[in-house]
Amino acid sequence: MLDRMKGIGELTLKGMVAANAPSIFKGMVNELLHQYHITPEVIIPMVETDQSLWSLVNEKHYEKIKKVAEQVKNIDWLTGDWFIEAIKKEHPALASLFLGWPRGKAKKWLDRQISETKKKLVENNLLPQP
Amino acid sequence: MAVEDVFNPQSKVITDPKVAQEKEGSDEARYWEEKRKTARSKREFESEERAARQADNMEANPPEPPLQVKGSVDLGHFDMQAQQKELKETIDRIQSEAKTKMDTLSEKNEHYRDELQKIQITMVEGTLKAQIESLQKALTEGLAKPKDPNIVDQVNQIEQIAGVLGFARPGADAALPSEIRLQMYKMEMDNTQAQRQFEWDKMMSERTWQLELKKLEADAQSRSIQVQQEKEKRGMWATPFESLGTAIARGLIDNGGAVSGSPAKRKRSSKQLQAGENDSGTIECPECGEPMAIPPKARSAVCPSCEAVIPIQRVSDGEPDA
Repeated sequence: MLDRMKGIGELTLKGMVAANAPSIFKGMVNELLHQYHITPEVIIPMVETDQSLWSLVNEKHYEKIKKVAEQVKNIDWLTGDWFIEAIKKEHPALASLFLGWPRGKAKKWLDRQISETKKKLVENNLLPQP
Repeated sequence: MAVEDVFNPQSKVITDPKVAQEKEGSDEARYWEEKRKTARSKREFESEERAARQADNMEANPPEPPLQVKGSVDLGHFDMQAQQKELKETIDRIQSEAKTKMDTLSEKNEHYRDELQKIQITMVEGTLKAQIESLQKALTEGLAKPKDPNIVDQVNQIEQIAGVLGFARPGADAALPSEIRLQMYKMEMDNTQAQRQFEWDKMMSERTWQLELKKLEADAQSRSIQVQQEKEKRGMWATPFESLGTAIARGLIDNGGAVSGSPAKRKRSSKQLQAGENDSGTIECPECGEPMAIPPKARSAVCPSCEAVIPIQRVSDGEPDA
């Protein structure tokens, strides 16, 4: 009985996470940007040298992201535009950087980072093959 | 004999007035030339005549001759060989005399040396005898006297000797007895020693105190480092979970997590920013005051808060970029 209740609970939680994935990801992204002190001064050289954003993320946070991703089956909504919209309230300077860089260089870099993230999640069997 | 026709002269002189005038001039010159020659001959003749007269006078009355020394000196006969022989004999004589004198002097020298040695030996003997006598005396007296003389007596003795020699301790109170003075010296010494000890103890305690302070500081520093490390450790483990939980909750609360895909319409701002040619970084939006970024080499910046597009004027070396 207890196991069944536990299973129902897990299913409920999973469903809840899946249903609110963008919101959860938004909170996570903003929090991670805070924790890693990501500012335009950090991002500018990364864009200019085409450095991966994942080089900044440590293993523990990556595991956390993986755990959240396990609950989500569809992340088509995760795009560069979504990312900018998600951070513009708490990190307006960063959002401004992605929006204002000439010829959309920063935006393209951001899109590449998101593609890389998706690829990683697919490679780890956390997401179905597109 | 042909008869001369006196009425008809044989030769006729044709006189050209011009030539005649020239001839007349040359005749005058010739006349004066002859006059000059005549005068010179006369002068020469007179001088010759004068010289002849003088010669005659000289012959008649000859002048007195200059001073003359007459006589002779007979230096006699020089015999160089005899002279050399004489010189050699003289040298030999001087040398022999000098040798004799040197021999005499060396003999005297040796004699004096012997005498000196004798005197020295006598002196050494005398000294030794005196020392032996004094030692014997000291031994005989020393056996009779105590081995360790009183220090007071020694000091008194030294002072007496010093007094005799004309030395006296500066500031010494001669009126005080030696025992009291000695006690005073001892007290002074003790006092100095005590002061020195006190200074030493003070220095040591200061040093110990400083060491303790440094130890305490080091402990405090190491503890603060430990606390910091602990905090960081805890932060590494706990904060992500806590903050991520908060973030998730915040994400859920924040507008239901909905993110609008369509961006709002942007408006171009009338305000302008100035930045260096290679400047980039974060500034405040001139419209709403929210933070915004200036991307490198961008000619405009977008404020995501108020959706304003702010033109950027790039300035190179103080001159605005057209």
